[in-house]
Parts: sequence; C-alpha cells; structure tokens
Amino acid sequence: MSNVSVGIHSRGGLFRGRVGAETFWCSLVLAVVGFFVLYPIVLIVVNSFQVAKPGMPPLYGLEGWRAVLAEPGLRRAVYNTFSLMIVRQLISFPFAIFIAWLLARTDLPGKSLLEFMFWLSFFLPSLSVTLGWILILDPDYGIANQIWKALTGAAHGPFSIYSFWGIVWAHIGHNTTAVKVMLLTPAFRNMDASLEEASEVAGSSTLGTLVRILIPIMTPIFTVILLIAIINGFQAFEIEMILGAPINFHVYSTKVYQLVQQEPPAFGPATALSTAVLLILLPLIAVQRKLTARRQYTTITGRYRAKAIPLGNWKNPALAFVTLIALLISVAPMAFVLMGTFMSLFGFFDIPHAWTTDNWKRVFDDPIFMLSLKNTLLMSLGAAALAVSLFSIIAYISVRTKFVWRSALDFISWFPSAMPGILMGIGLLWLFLDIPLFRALYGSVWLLIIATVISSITLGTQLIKANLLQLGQELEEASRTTGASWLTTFRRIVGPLLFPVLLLVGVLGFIHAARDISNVALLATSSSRTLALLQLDFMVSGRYESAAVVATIVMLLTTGVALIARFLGLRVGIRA
Amino acid sequence: MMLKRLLAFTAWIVLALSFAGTANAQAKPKDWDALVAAAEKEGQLSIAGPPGDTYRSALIGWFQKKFPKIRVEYNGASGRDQVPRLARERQSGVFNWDIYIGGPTSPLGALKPIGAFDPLPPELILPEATDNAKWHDGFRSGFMDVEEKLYYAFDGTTSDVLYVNADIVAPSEIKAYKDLADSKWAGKIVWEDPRQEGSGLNSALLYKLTYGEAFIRKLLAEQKIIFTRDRRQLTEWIVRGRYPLAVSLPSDQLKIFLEKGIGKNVKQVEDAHFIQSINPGFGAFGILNRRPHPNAAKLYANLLLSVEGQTSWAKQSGGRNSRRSDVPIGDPEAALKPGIKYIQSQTEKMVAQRQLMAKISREVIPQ
Repeated sequence: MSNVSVGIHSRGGLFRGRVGAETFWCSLVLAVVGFFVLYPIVLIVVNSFQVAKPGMPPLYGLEGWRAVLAEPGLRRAVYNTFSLMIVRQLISFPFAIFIAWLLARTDLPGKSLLEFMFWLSFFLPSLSVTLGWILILDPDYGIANQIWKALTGAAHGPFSIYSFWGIVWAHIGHNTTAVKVMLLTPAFRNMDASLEEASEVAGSSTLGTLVRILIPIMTPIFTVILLIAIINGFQAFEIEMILGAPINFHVYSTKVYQLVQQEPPAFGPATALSTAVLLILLPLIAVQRKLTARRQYTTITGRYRAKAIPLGNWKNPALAFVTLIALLISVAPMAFVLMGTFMSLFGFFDIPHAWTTDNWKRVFDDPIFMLSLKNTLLMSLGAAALAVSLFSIIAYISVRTKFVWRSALDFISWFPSAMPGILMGIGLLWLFLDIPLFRALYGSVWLLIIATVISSITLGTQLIKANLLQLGQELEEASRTTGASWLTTFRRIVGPLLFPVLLLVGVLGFIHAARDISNVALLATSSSRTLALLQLDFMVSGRYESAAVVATIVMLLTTGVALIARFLGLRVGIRA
Repeated sequence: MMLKRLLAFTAWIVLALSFAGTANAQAKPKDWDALVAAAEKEGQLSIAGPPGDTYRSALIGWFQKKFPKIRVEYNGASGRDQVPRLARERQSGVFNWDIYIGGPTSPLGALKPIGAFDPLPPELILPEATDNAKWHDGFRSGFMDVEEKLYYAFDGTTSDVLYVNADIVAPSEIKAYKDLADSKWAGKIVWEDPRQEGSGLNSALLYKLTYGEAFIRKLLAEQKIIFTRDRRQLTEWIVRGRYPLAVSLPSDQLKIFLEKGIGKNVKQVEDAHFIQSINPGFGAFGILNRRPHPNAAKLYANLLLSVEGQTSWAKQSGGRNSRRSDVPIGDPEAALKPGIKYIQSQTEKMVAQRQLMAKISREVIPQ
C-alpha cells in the first residue's frame, strides 16, 4: 500500500492539494460510518452486562459473560466450527482459484456462461438446496443410496448427508466454492498479461506462473476472502441446524442461536460469544492490513494488456472439469429448488397429485405478495446503489488517501460482519429508536436500506479495496497531467477499470438486502414488509414449498439484476 | 309429503335463524354501533401478531372482510423478535401497536413488567365474548397472568405429547408415556428441542410434573433423543419412519401431510394417567396501553372472542382449537374433552417452572 499511497499523496489524490478539505471529508465519512457501525455494537456490548429483569432499574454485572463460559458443549462446538471451517477452505480454495483462473485468464470456451453459473449458485436459497441434498443423500430414502442398493444389493448405501462430511458437502455444493469463484474471477481478470509473459520467458510453465506469480500478487483479495470465510464459518448455521440435529453436531453459531432462542433470550451471553469472534478477528485484520501494506500489488498500469492464455490440448478436459463443477453446484441445486415449488410435498414422489401449481397460486394469492415484491425491489435497488457509493468511498479513503485515521475506517468496516444478524438487528433497532431524526422514518423502507447496507459493509468494502490495490496510480496521474479533473479521471479511467467489481458489489448488496431477515424482521411494518419476510411466514407455517416459490422469485429478481450487471460489466470492464 | 316436510323444515330453520339473528342483535350492547363508528373513523388497527401466513389469515382475514374501512396493520413475528422490539419502542416513546397476540411466556416475562398491557375486562362489552357457559372451564380460566386481567388465552388445544408411526411401532407397545424411557426406544425418538420455549419444552415440563425431575433428567440424557427446532423436519421424520416416535409433534404440520394423503400411519398415544394440559401456543392476546387506535382495538378484542373470531381461529389456524364450545373443532385429536381437568401450562405462575425445565434440558442433553 505504501508505494501506492505515497505516490498519490505527494501528487494529490481525491482532494488534490487540499489537505484540509481531504481531512474534513474523510473525517466526516469516518464519523458517519463509525456512528452507524459502532453505536449499535457498543449498545449491544454494554447491554450484555445488564442483568436486571425487565421493568427493573438497570443493574450491571458479569453474569451473562460468566454464563457463556459455563455453556455446556461450547468447547466441542468451537472445535466443530474450526474443523468445518478448515476442511471447507482446504477443499474449496484450491478449486476456486483454479476455476477462477481458467475463467479469467484462459481461452476456455463458454467461460462467460460458466462464470454466471457460479453466480447462480450463490443466489440459490440455502434451505431449498439443503432439502434437495437430503433428498439425494439421506441414508435411508436418499436417491443416491437407493440406486447404490439396487445396483449392489447392499443393505445400506454409503452416503449420509447427516454427517460431518455431509455438512461439508452441503456447504461446498451450495456457495462456499461459488462465492470464491465470484470474487476471484474479476481479480484474476485484472492481471496484466505481461506478468505471465515474463514468467514464461523465464522458463516457467503455465501452472508455475499461476503458483509463483499470480497467486502471490493476489494476496489482498486472498486475505479478504480468507477472513470472510472465517467470519462465515462462525456465522453459518442453517445447514448445521438441519443436518447436525440427528448427529448432535453443534457449532459456534448454533450455540449463539440457542442462546437467543431461550426464554427470556440470553442476549448477554450471546453478545459475549459474538464479541469473542470480534476479538479473534482483530489480530487477523491487523495481519491482513500489514500483508497488503508491505508490498506492491499493482497489476493494472498504463501498459496493461489483457490476453487469454491458450489452453491447447487441455482445453477440453478443462472445459469438462469446470462444466461438471458448475452443473453440480448450480444446475442440480436449481433443479431441486424449482422441483420443490411444483411438488405437493417436497421429496414425496409417490403420493396422489405429487405435482401441483398450488404453491405458486398460494403465493400470488397472498394479499401482501405484491406489496412485498414492490418493497423488496425498492429496498434492494436502494441498498445496491447506496452500497456501491458508500463502500467505494470507504475503500478509496483506505487505499488512496493519507488520512491518518484510514486504518480505523478500514477496521470499523469489518465489525458488522462479526456480529450475528439478530444481535446487529437489535443494535440497529436501538439506534433508529434512540435518534429522533430516524424515529420519524421508523418502519419505512429507507431505514431498511440503511440497516441492510450497514450489515453488508464488510464484503463490499473489502472487495473494492482489494481491486483498488491492483490499480496503478500512474493511470490517474497521467489523466490529471493532461488536465483532466478528478471526476473526469474517475469517469474515464478508474470507473471503467473498477466497473466489474462495483457491479459485483451492487449485485451482492441487492441479494443481501432481498434475503435479509434478521434486520428487516425487527424494523419492518406491514407496509414495508419484504419478500424475505413473506418467505419466513410460509416457513413458519411449514409451507416449505410456497417458501421455495418466494425464494425462487427473489432468485429470479437477483438473476435479472445480475444479468444486466454482467452485460454492462463485460461491455465496460476489462476482458481477457 | 316429502316436499311438504322439507318446506316445513326449511321454514323452521329460517325462523330459528331469524330468531337467532334477533337475539344476537339484542345481545349487542347499546353503544356497540357507536364503537363501530368510532373504530371506522380511526380507520386502522395495528396488531403485533404471530408469524406465518396461516395465523395472519386466521386472525385478521374475517375482520378485514367485515370492516373494510378499518385497515389492519399486521406485523407477524416470533415473540423473540416482537417483544424486545415493542419493549424498546415503548422505552423510546413509540406506541405503534394496539394489540399483541402470541404465546404468553414472552409478553408476560418482558412486557407485563414494564406495564405495557391495559386490563382486558373493561374493554369486553360484548356479552357473547365473555359468556361463561360458552368457554371451557369458564371465561376467567383463560387468563394467563396472576391478576387474571391482562393476558387472555382463547386457544384450547391440548398438549398431545406422544405420537408413533404405526407402521413401525404398534401403538399398543407403549402403554404409558413413561415407557419412552425403555432402552429399546433409544435413538428412535425425535423431540422438538426443549431447550427453547415451545411445544417441546411444554412436553418436557409435563413429563417432569407427572413423573418427577429425576425421570425427565434421565430420559433426556440417556435415550439418545434427536432434538430439532425444525417442526416440519420433525413431522417428516415420523411420517417417513426415520424416527418412529415423536414427542411434541406439531399438529398443524401433520395436518399438511394428512391433506396430501400421507401421515395416516402417525397415531397419537393415549395415556389417561399423564397430566393433561392446554397449550395455547400463539392463541393468546393482550391490549396494549397508550394504543393509537383504542376503539378499533376494543372492537377487535370483543369480536376475536366472539363466535365469529373463534370460528376463524379454529378453521384457519391450521389445526388449533378454541376454548369456546360453540365453534367448530380444528383438530379433533387435540380437542378439549368434557370431564377432564386440564392444567394451563403457560400461565404466569408456570413461567418459573418452564424456565427451570429449559435450564435442566440445557444441562442434561448431551452436547
């Protein structure tokens, strides 16, 4: 970072030659972001020491924190969490790097479609996909085991989705791999072909170039993805809840969930547990910042050239490999989801009238469907727009300015992701109720937009930051030397180069908002309810098939937005 | 002759109905029309209710049809989300809601102590709503709070503790609920997680009350029970026979399977010696004070407890029953039976017992 920053600061950055103005605007951003992020978190943490019963005067103590240490099975749950996290990353990381490289740097046929299939996998609803895998891999009635038994005459099939490896598979087969491919492909695309050419001239093979040149230079994006993976490892619980129950398999997040579900909810111990995650993350974030600051990661300079590496004889095997993975994690689960929407009871094929359109009718006939659809579109588009704008500014300040508190801004952007959704939701509820200005907007879609953007700040900011690190500053300098203003430079040079990642962040912001339940459930009213809450309604009623219909509609909305984003991104952004 | 009889019968029915109509009209208090007019003038009713489209439809569908001029703002969420939200809103001076509907434990634990509810009896002016003869065990027995005036359970669904998949286990194999402790059932029981509030905790509490703490501790700790929070999954497991015994099977979920022609093999196990209880689930409510639409709230509260409101609850809530005896039965297997003494296992007096049971569950369930 230092090389980049020094260059920029000495010759002028966003606020060229006006250090006072730069400091003022950066401080303002820090104050606003810090307030929205820290206020709810501080309230939650302070409240975790509150031990008085409802209606009694406040009384503070350590009971909540002590209770968490005495929580039965916590050590086992932490062990399970780390085991799952490590195994998932060891498997998915190499696969994702290889696939993203093939998609971004080679002449693989149909790579645009294949890349989009990984996006689709990320858009799929967790619950429906997990139910689909149960249908295939249930030890008793799973289709795969049935086929195995029929073929071999064995009494039992070899597969069980209700196992450690079943949970690993459900994660990898859903979005653990997909999200990495989504995030890595644009970063690989930003690589200058001259790096590969230089490596080949020095006698390195294509694979050697990937391992020795490309991967090291992508440290910023790798560390971001790794940290996000660690955070997700602590927070993922839907799959563990469903598949872990029969084998009594608990993880850290199911413990937090258990505490919040108690009566009365044990918010204190839940916060204590969540704060521990934050404490684990802080040194990792510091290491990540140090790693990315120590070296120069610029790959896009004024001499940038995009060039696809010919795969030669490896083209067909590579195509078969990527297609197989893409089909396995996108088309197969999508088939489960769609099938679920047309079944009377998901997974029951041998009942009378097994197939029906009633689930769709039930959703369309629901009196709040149209309003929920409208609210979802408004909220998600608003969240996407705000996310792109706000996260770009935060990332820009972190990477391109000399603002003394830029590290603090970067640190703060990690905090919301370390807090479980339900706790962050409560913190934001308190924030909006405590401040009179927001109280006037309470229950409106506008507050939902703010809440969902705050809760998705980490991934978006860090993604833009990592891509910004790849961008050489001489492009901006050259533009300004020719007399272009900052705005023109951004519009003509920086914007188009960052365009693919900005669109990706917009799409992620859209889907995060469209799916968000924990924040929206606490802030919405009947006039601002969204499709995610309608989906929750159906799930609570046990109408999983109708819930799958709503999830499919959200998926279609997101796919539409993603298609437009990709169309624009491929037209404006860098192509290999 | 036949036609004559039919005509006479029809005339008798028309006459009886018109008398009933007159009686109903007469049963309305004299200021009822003024209340309706005032409620319509307010034009809105805000209900913080239970989650799910089924409950939403059962609780407000009939009211919206009857009073199209009153817009119903219904926010469905679990007590876990709803109660902290309402408590914080009130702390900040935001009073958006008229009525809270949901399980008694959360609101009695967190909303009653902050004085969020107004007494219900002064609001109930419709004689039909409080007619002692029409409510199982009398109208007053529905109050959940110690003072018997703030929070009222209209639901009359019994706690069906144990079910078997008859294709795998003959119901006769289990003579009493305590037979569940037999080691031959180890690893074959699925139970809605009793570590959190809900039917699973209710069943565990009833076991504790019937057989004592040592029994339930041993049962939860040693029988390799599968605990799940997913009610649909629990139902599917017993229907498919993956686990042939289910404690606290949600009847509304089983109904979904029965509607599609499966799950007929799932049978309730009867045990007359086991404590019988009413578990109101989400079927209880209170009127919030400083409410924005007092007349609409009063109108709704009266009609919710009337035949019309309770008929909608019994017919549309997916297998719940009413404590009213003059409305249809939603789930015959979980209907209140005359002559049996039921305990209300979710009253305020029981909160401490429930919390203790949840604590025991957390302690003994292997993790």
